Amino acid sequence: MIRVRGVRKSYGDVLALDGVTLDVQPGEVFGLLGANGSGKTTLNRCIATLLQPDEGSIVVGESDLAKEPDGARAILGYLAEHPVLYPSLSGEEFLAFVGGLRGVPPDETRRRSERWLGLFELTGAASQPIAGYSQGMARKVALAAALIGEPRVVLLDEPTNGLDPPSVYLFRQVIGRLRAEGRTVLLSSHVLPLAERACDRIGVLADGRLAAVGTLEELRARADRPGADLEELFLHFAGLDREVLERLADAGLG
Amino acid sequence: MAAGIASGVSSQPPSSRAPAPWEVARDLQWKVARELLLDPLTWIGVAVAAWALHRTGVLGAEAALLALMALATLQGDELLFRRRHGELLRTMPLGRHGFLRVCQTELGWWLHPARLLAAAAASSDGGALVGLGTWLVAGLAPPLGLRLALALRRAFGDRGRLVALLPALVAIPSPLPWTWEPAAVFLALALLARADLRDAWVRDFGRLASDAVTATGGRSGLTWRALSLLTRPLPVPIRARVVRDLTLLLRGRDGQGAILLLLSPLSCLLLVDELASMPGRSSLPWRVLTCAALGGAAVAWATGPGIHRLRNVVMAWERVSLRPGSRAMAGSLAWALTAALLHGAATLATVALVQDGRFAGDVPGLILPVLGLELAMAHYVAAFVMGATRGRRIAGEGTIVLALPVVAVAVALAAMFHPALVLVYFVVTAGMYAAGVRRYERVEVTW
Repeated sequence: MIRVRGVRKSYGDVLALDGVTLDVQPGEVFGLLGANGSGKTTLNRCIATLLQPDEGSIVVGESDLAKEPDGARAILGYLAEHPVLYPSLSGEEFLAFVGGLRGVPPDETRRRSERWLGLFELTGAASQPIAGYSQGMARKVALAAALIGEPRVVLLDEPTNGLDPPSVYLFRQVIGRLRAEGRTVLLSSHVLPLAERACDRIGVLADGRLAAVGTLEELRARADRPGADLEELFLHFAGLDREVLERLADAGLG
Repeated sequence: MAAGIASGVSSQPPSSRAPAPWEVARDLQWKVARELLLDPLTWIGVAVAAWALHRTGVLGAEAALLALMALATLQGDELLFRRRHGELLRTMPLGRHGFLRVCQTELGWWLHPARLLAAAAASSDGGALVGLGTWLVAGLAPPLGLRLALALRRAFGDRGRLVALLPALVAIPSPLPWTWEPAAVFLALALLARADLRDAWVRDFGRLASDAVTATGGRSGLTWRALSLLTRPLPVPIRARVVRDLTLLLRGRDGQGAILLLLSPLSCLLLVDELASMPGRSSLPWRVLTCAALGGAAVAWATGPGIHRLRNVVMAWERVSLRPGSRAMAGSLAWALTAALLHGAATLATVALVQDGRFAGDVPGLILPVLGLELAMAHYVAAFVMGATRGRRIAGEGTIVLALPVVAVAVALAAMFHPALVLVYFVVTAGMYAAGVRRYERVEVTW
């Protein structure tokens, strides 16, 4: 459903993605893990058609983004790492706006808004300006906005930032529901327990490269660490385990 | 201008001592405010509006002072209770009355343009001396504005801002001849407010600010629903964009645009004035087109850069939807051209109705030139800002000020030669549409 081939992307002299190749299958929940600055957000933005890769190709569904980005946009939903909402609009107005952008008829948008806002326990705050929302409430509205077009492919960049534990649990159920409906999810996160429980396969990005891809079992086998949890595997593949130990030693804490 | 405004509100701290915390906060606020207050475009707009207010005499001195007070109260409420980083400022150790002093100083900055407009309006029927007096008296508006904002908050909560508008709304449509009493009353009230403000502040500001933060009053959603109904004929994706634009405008998120739209009917009053002093009929088309261009420029600017910057804030949402460039352009043009058409229609209606319909017979011949001119100006600005989008910014938006008069004069001259020639503009600039769409779809969205 998402096919990424040899994608490179730089911001001036900074190389953010260095030849990333990746396949996400239809109906799969794929977890993209990486430290801060590893290139997760850049890859998400490239797939969401917000950035153009310097090299390489990306296909979403049947559409090559370089040739027919609209084909991809028709089936994409995207939640940015720091989604921008209008503080002076209410939650339901913002959802009506995004639903309209996606071409969803107003009555249907209203129905879907009510469903999502109800699920996220935001019905009481739906008519209040977003300016008064907590970070978690705004995040839930943004998630509802990303899903209001009922996209077949969902890109979620750090979706649980600012959410409390019950909301994270609820969010994980939503991902399960998306999977059950056959939707494809690319989930970028550094909340490892979430990725461990919610994702079918996991990819580890390190310094703009995909260091490892596989199911949890495949990653354990590849690292030759049976029984290792995702945190150990992530640090291993990102090359951070030794680095962290060295830093601790340098600081006299080793 | 920076030095003038800054020095007008407080003296700089002596270099021998560290600035007081409230002075640091004030200087930081100035860095925020100066972006708009030192914008030459703001002052060009203010100068043109001041000239129009003076020339038409549409606002008497009393109405001007009441409008100024309404503005001072609204802005005072914004600074005291509603601005986004207000909580941060309130929790800084600014001293006993530090936050109040910062707000009062800031309000003084924001009221400079309004003082000038009030003085221009007042000088229209009272002469230069009355204008100067109004300007001086209006300098006392900040403490009165803050005091009224506090009082209205106390009495009406969040709806106090609407109450502040009522006196101005009553006074503006019926300007009275100038007399000295209202100015004296204003002066007395302002001096009283200045003396009383600190006490009022100490008394209950903390509670009012807390109430403002915890107020859970929701929006009725009436604006959004009404605008959705009004724009029903538009396709859904265009409609969503237009309703968003208008809602943000009505909620004051693009202050410059809102003020320009409010001032744009002044061009019709200027036209009435022009036609009254016109000796024959030969110069009628040129005078009508001049006034249409003046108001059209205000409308075009109001529907252009400011609102487009607001659109760009959520570009990530727009760009992941279908055909983002062409739909954003269509939404932008739908709003800009409708506003231009309405202003054009108002201009034509003015020609038809003025002096008991003396020029009504000339209206059919003016329809194409006037509407063509207004549409061309609105189209030019809308297409320009789309094509000049660089990230969240619009590159070189100041050049619109130079280019728009050229467009206006060229279209007006063409219209004078033959009305149908205004259509040539749309042929010549057809490429701007495609360039704007392309640019919008290629901007790298990193926010």
